[in-house]
Amino acid sequence: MAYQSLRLEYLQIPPVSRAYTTACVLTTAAVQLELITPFQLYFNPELIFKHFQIWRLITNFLFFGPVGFNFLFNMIFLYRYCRMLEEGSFRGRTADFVFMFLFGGFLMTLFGLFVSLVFLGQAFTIMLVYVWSRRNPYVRMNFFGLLNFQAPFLPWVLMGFSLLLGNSIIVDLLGIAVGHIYFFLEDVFPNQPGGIRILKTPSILKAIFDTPDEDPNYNPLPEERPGGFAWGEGQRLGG
Amino acid sequence: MKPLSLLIEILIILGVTIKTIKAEEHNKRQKERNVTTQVSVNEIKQYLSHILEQRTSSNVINKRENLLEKKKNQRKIRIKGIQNKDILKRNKNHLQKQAEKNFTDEGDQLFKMGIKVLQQSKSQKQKEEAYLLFAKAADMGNLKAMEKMADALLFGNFGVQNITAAIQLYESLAKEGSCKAQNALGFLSSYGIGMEYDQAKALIYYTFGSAGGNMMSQMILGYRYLSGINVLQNCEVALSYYKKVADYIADTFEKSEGVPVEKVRLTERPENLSSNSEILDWDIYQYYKFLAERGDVQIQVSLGQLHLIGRKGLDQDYYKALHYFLKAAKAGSANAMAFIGKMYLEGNAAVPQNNATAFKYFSMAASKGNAIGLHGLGLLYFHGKGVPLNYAEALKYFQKAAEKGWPDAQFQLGFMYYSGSGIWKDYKLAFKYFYLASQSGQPLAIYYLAKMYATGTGVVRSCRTAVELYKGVCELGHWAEKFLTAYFAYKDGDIDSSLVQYALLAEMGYEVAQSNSAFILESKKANILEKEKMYPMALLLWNRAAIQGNAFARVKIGDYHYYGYGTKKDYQTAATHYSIAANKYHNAQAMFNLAYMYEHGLGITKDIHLARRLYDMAAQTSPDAHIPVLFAVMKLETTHLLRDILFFNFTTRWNWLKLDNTIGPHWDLFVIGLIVPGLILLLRNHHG
Repeated sequence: MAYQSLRLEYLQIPPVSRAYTTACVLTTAAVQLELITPFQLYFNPELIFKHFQIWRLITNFLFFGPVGFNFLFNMIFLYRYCRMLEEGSFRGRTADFVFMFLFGGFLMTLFGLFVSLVFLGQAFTIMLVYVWSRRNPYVRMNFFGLLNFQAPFLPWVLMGFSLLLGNSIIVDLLGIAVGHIYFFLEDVFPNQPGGIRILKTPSILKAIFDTPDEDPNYNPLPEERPGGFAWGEGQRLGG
Repeated sequence: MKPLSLLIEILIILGVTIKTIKAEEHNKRQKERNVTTQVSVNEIKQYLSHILEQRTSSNVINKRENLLEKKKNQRKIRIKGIQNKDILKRNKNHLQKQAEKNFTDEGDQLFKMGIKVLQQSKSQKQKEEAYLLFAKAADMGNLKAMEKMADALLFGNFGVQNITAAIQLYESLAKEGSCKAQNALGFLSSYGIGMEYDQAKALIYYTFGSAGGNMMSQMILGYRYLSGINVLQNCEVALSYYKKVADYIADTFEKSEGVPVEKVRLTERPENLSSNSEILDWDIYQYYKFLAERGDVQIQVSLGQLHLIGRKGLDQDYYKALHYFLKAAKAGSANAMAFIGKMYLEGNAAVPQNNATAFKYFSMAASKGNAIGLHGLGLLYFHGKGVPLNYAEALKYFQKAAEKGWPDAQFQLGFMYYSGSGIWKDYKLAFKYFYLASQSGQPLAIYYLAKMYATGTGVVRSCRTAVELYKGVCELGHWAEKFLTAYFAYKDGDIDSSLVQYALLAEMGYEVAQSNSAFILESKKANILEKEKMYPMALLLWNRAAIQGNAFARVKIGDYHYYGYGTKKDYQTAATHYSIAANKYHNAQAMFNLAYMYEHGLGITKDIHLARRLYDMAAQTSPDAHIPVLFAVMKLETTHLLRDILFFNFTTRWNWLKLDNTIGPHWDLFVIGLIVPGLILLLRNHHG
């Protein structure tokens, strides 16, 4: 009986978030059980283009290191912000969300060619956090009861923590850069005088992922519009 | 391009071939003399040629050439028939000698060409071409080529393993005095592979092989006299055998640096699939390559070193080595500069020998305090290459490098004091430096240490120590390359090929090969030995490995005696071997097994407390042992508790029995005692 409610809870997760999170967990489990090794997953341009190991383009986004603090931290952030985006500003726009994934992944792969990064999943998580934080600018956040700040500063706070822990901040910078490019092209540039919307979701993605609207005349409530209301409740983190 | 040019060369050689009726007559005469031997040899040759030529298209071309030759010869014969008989006789004699000479020369040429291809080969395909040439040379009776083909058949190189054919070839070679063939036959007799198991015959073959100068036979006999295998233990005889081989190897090392071969332990592999540190997985190699191309200097130097000497399963590739070293040197790595200097000093395909350039690079490295650079400068001054010979300067540089712990420099210092080059002889200092270098595995230092112990120079003479050291040097010979081919054969699932190679190495005294062979035999996947022979042979090999200090093998011997594999069940002997492994080598598995035997009183007196103690020791010794020990201790405590309850029950029952005995005889009085008060109570109640 318990597994039924677990299954329902699992199925209530939006599809893209569910798929991506599950893929990450399964990949890490496979590595932990030594069915595969990280050497078969990491991003290596030569192996991809010369030996045609195409799967590396995808698998380098699915691995966050061995099971431990770092893995859990990344998974929590990934799950949380991916879900909030999909249920928030991308509600009813699954195709657009998938297109953001593809665009972000493509851009990171491009940058990855010039930076010595072998796993880009963490940068992808930062990108999701950045986009969410920019689309919810008035949400107040509390970090471990010590820091109080508004949402747009969250990615930079995370980068600061990386710095404190002695990790490389290239990953965070990459995520922020790609996230900002997407945010600018999607939310800022089209609203400027003379601006146009460059990132148009291909029709084929819409056909695959979007479900037809039941009521053509349906007008979404303010909560479901991009950006939502101009106010927000406080968010406690790590408390 | 290479295959094409190679094919053209083959065609040219074939075109030069002169096959006349006279040569055929010569062959017929040989057949009449040695019908049996020659027939079998010819069959084998045809078999080999048939197999190898199936893979190439030159077979058709060869046939055409033969047809053309036959037609030409027929014409010549017709013309000669017209001339007078005297001239004909002279021509016959001349042609006969010419044909014989050409036949022999051609075989030699083919063999040498094959050797050249083999030495320069980087791929399996080129090696197959080399063996195709050997097959042709063997067809013409070239002994060395026949040896190569026999080895290929025995070890299953290039996909064809045929031990029966190999044995026939070896036997014909042995009759012609081939010490290699005698060594091979000794090996096969020793294991009963394809031949009758016969240690006496094996010993005879080895002795003749050794007398003929075969170093494998010398190593095998040295090991046998050292360990007392089928011969009386005799340290001096072992010393003389090992010394011969070690002298040759030291001579080789003095000319060019040797390449140590990785020895993978099969017994460890199943448990640590992802941490094989001996052979580099392709995936891991690609990762290192990726990091090196991205500018990781340390990895560039490491990859350069691996390619320079062809270690960890990588090909020896001077061009790649130079590529990585130059990248690292540009980034300021002193190590890389020193290695580039080393390459120029020695000279190879990628860089020509150049003392001035070597001096430049060594100086750059030395100015950064690099030990290899300092050592390189020392070598230049010691040998007077590119700079005037100067022993004092050489000594200075060697000392600086030795202080930084570089074993080659330590050896050079030892050698200078040993030989008195530029300084007074000082055997004590020589010994000290040789010892330091030998701790890092420097082969020449080990050799000179052995020499000092063998002759009593500077140290008290010790035959045992000298032999052990010489053995270490001998095991660095080129035959150790079989470890790689055997391992790759095993990985590819070619169990018989792998087993034959490991078994030969085991015969030569390699402990790793002994445990690997035993491991393969134990798994019973091989087909070249009967099933019932496998466990006894495995036990024998585990025994040899255990004597050489392998704790895992010692535990295996215990297991074999415990379960009765290859020998009778003998708990006492099993316990003895487990004790050795537990006390001397601190092996957790042995501790656990011993604890179990103490717990159940198998082969030794039952002792619960000692069992508990040994279980705890096993858990402390190895993290892997925690869970098994937990279960074992739980079982032990549960059994103990149940035994206590049983004791309590027994006590209660005993009390009951005692009571029954006391009351039994006077039960009637007891009953009356109960009835009378009952009646009184009843009457009283009735009235009331």
